[in-house]
Amino acid sequence: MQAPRIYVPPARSAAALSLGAALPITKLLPEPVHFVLAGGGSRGAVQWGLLQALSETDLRPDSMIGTSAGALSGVVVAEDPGSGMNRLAYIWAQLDTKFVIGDNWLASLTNARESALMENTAIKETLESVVGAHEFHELAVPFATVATDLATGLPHVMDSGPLIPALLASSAIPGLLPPVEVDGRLLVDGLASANLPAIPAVERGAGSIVVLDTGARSLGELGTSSRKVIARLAASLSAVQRRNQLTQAASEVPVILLPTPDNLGGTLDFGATMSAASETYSMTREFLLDLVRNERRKLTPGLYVRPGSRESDAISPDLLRPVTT
Amino acid sequence: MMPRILDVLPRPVAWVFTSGGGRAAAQVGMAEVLLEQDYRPDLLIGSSFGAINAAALADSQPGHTRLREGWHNLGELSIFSSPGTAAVRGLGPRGNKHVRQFHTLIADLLQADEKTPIPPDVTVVASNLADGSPHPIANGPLVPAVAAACTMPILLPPVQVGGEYLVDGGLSAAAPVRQAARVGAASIVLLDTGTSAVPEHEVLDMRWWQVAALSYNHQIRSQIGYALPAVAEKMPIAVISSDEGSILDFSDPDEQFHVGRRVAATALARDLRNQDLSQPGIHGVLARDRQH
Repeated sequence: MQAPRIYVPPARSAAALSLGAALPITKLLPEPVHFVLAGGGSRGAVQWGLLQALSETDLRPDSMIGTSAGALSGVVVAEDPGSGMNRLAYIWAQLDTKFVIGDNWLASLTNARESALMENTAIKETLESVVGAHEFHELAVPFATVATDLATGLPHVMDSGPLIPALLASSAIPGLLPPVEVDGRLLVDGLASANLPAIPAVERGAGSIVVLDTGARSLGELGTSSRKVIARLAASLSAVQRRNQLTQAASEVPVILLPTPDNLGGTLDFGATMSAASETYSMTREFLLDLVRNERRKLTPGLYVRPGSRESDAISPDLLRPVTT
Repeated sequence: MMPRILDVLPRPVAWVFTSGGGRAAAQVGMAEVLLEQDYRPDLLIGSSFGAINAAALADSQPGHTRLREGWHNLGELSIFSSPGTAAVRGLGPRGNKHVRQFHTLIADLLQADEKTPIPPDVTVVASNLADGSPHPIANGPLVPAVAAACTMPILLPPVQVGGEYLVDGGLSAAAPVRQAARVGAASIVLLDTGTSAVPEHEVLDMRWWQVAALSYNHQIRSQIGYALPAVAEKMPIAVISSDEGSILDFSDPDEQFHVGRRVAATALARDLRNQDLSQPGIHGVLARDRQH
């Protein structure tokens, strides 16, 4: 039932970590710049790669918003913008299913009459071990996290008060982990309403958005058996929601969608996470170099993507701004 | 004599029928009230179970008189009268019998055979299982298209149409207003039963599987929130909306017809009055917003 303890390296100054001249990106982005971190369970590890590549630019977020696993990555960096990236690498390298459901999942099972199959003791301990702050206002960068209001189905954005209940709510996988009461509302995982919370970022006043996605899950074979259909549906539903969030946000502000790998594993498949993160780092580093080479002026609204990415077919062409090599 | 408030809607007027499972029966009552007041659609677009209503109400279809009876027959199909058992059975290979029954029933309701084409004013919307995109169908045989549009996942296996695996249109376009705009609508009457909100007190003592099912439902319906404002920037959308009853409850269509009639009468007499329906925007009240 107890989660093993996570080793978290101490904070270091940003100067000690900087590697040569920072890539000049800040001048391209209308302020304030919001980082948007999508959910995706274990695939959240790729966000370490994204943040690492971003840390080698001159860009610093004015605000961050994250859902589920994206909230975990986000809060670590919002608490410690200097060396949070370094700490995240350590954290994701150690994360495992047991940090979500405990090292003895049988013992964490509730009886089936409860609101969830598991207790959230393990994930709560994990969050407490990686987050030092108790309240949102203690964080160095303004930070918000998104859950879903179980009664209305609408996104519920939290940016003040106690941190841990908000993070738990954002990661309360429906059915598996119990809903969490915050602000008098019963909340579940933000995946049901805004897994990639770009519209909430616009509503919070973003002048431009940098999206830290969690990569795509490989879809598996098409077929008519229920098992194949369920796998497809989960992927399809989040794809539709993601596309809507990106389209609506990109029609109002510049949205930079950092590239992430396709064909990653499922949301509780912590196996290949670190290799995916380093692949993500190289992809994003290249992408950001191309962005700086191609763009000279402040970016205008639209979705800035790597050509040939999966957005190319799905998003209306008048919003697409391919960043060519 | 009711003032003819919908006459100012720019033509062509599309009646758009949303998803809603068993609750979509309320759309029958809504449509009856509109027809009795001599309103007529130029285009009909339906997603999920709304596709049945859209197809049956087409000008060239004799189906609308049979709609009430058809919804009763649907409720008696075992997949809809005990969806839990059907879902478990759906995991095995025995789904085909239900698929045949379902197709026969839709053919019967629409008085169509396997070759009857989709009427020219009708578009039904399914979802493409491969990429989760909406899949509007305006040509080809009517019955398989309507059946594909209401292929509730797990209860029924995907339908293969033209080399694509199709499932319920509600998954990608719960309120198919974008598809209405694309086939040339200049204004929309939205017959909506698609909200997933439930009363506050109901979530307090839910079991784990109810939490999971409701959240899944929220994820599906969240798309309405994106599609509606985007289309309403370009054209007027007159909303008639109900959230009474449950999506998985097909047992009492008479009650749903009644609810639909009441909601439509209220919308015409109150919510849609004193609004400039000739102008773009969302006119009237979505049930989701009325509750909160």
